Amino acid sequence: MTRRQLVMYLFPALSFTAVFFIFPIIFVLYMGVQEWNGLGSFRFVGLDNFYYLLEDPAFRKALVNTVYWILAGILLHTPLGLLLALILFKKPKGWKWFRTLFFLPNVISTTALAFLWYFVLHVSLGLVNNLLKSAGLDSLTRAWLSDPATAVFANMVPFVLYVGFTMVVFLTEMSTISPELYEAADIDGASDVQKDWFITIPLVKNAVAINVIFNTAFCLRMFEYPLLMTGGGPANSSLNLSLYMYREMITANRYGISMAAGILTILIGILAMLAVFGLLRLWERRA
Amino acid sequence: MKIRWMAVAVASVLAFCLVLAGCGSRDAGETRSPDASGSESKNESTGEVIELTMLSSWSPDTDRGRALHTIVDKFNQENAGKIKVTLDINPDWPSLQEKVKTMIAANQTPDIFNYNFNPNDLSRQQSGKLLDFSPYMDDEWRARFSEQDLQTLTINGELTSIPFEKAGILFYYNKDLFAQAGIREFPKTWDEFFEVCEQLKASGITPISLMTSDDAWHATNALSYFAASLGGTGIFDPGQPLDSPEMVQAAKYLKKLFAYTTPDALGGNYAVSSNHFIVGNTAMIIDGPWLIGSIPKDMWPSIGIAASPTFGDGKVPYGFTVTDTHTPWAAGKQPSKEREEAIVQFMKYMTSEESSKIFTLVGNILLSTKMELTDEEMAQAGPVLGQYIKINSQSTESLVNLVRYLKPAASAKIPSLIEGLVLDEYTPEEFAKQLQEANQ
Repeated sequence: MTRRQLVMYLFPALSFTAVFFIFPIIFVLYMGVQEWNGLGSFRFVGLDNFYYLLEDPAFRKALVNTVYWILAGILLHTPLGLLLALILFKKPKGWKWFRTLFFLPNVISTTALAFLWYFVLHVSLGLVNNLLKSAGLDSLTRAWLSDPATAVFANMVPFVLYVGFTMVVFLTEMSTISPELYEAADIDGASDVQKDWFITIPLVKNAVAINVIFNTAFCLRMFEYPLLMTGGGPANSSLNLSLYMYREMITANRYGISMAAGILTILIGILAMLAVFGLLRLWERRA
Repeated sequence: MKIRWMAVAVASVLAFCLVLAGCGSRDAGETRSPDASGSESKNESTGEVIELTMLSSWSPDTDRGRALHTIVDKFNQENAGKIKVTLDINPDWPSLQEKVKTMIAANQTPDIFNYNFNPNDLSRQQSGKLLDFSPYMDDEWRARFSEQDLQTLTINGELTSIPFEKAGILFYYNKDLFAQAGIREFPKTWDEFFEVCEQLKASGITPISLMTSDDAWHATNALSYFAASLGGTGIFDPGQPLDSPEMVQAAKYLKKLFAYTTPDALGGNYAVSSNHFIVGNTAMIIDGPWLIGSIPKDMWPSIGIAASPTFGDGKVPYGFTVTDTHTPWAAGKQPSKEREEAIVQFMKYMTSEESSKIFTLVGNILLSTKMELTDEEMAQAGPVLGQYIKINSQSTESLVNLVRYLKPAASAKIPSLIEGLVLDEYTPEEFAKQLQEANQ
């Protein structure tokens, strides 16, 4: 392929990336140092928006909660998807039916799921509290969505549980493993757990990397569950960065602060990705 | 060679971007063309139909939406072949407000729209893109409004908004639940009010609906009533601090009130809170007349309307009201005199006595416009709206709900501040201080 052809092939994608990604990013960077209420002219404020963010307890809370979300994505959601994939990979009876069932929530609107879980966790109407009551565990019931100690974790429940997409990525990778490896392990008398631990998991590390990256990105831009289940409350206890940006822009009309928060989120995203890549490289070297 | 190709690629991308950017900003900085708002305006000088687009959140499945559609349809029929008003409904009020702001910023100001007037946020009026109605405000039209309302909405000598909705917020109570708890009448002082709350609670009835999500409407109604009862109806006047001792005390009372509400009030939204009252889960709610449309007719005989209690110390007269802010109509500047006159003609129709009666009797909306209802019309209003109109009209003093006065930054913060107050994360003093700081 000549250079001319290369440029011609890349031109459409490059153009759209520039128009719909690079330029908006430049605009966000520009807006991050301005003060604007949605009408009227911009006012240059330097780094004031960033200083404000560092001093704002709501932003700090949003930042910490976003880190919780990422940790839940890496340490709970991804391993749960792997566990389900390991079980279904052994093709137990009805495994295809279960695979469809576990994937089903991924084709349902997040908004619908958020409302569903709002009612599951509702303090008086909710399934969870009513089940606890019927089991005689009244002392364990609580206002899951209205208690600052539980609100952010209650928001995470549907995300952590609906692992269908993660599971399918693992299953796809597992399907590429040669059956001969398992046959050899059988001859050596390896148990199912040993086969999973010493053959399957090391050979799906690419899928682990993909899932960790996907889930980290998903958690960084998580919006619907906090907005619809708790609105970021009570008292900002379940606020995350996406919701903070939305609130600053739409409710408070502080576009500059919202954009500054967006810039910090992009930086955090880049740092999170670098950390994930670093950890995966370390794992590869040790393996 | 490599550099040359890279330069060609970068230049091509930039050229492509410029073409796209040029397409997007063709009208920037120019006067909005009639087509910009999406209305298909034809050449008025030829006598063709002038089409106007009206943005509103009043969907036809609500009482107020039905009233609005009725009036717009009637206007269109009466002006067939001359003016046609098309409704563009977005039931999500906050997103509609954001859309209007974006349209103003993009030089595509809607033909007609409504919004919550806030003296601390005059960005729409100061944009210079709103139509000034003052040249069209003849004596006959002026007489439809109170002079005070017109003055409030006149900014820098321009009347860019037409007074329309300004509803009093009153106390709804469920007479059956009150009777179950042995309570005969609605309390007149706050001490009696909290005794009533205790009595209701002791009878297993949740006393009041509250909420903290969105604009924490029901909670801020209560806070505004407490604050005004303690500091008078001028407590939110411009220049008054929000961390005054009266506001601190009001915050203490608000916190106390949350002990008498539903467990989902913290984080609950308007629908959650009002539904609790409508289905009989709670005995009281503080809300505007729009709630009436949601109350089932078979429940109407059980519903009582009352004015707020006071502390009985003369700071405010009994019967004073907290009101919602003005929700006036505004219009974008038009490219032709004919379109301006068409908008004025429509606004005069909207604010006529006949239309006002339709809005009140069909839409359960209390308006700023002057109107006299006959006994027959009062009976037609039904028992709840009838009580509402009567008590609201007896109000001699009023103030606007706090949340409508706040600057957007403070308005965005108040739900989390109330939640923090209730959860003991902030003392009432800290609550008031943070509110004051956010409002600076």
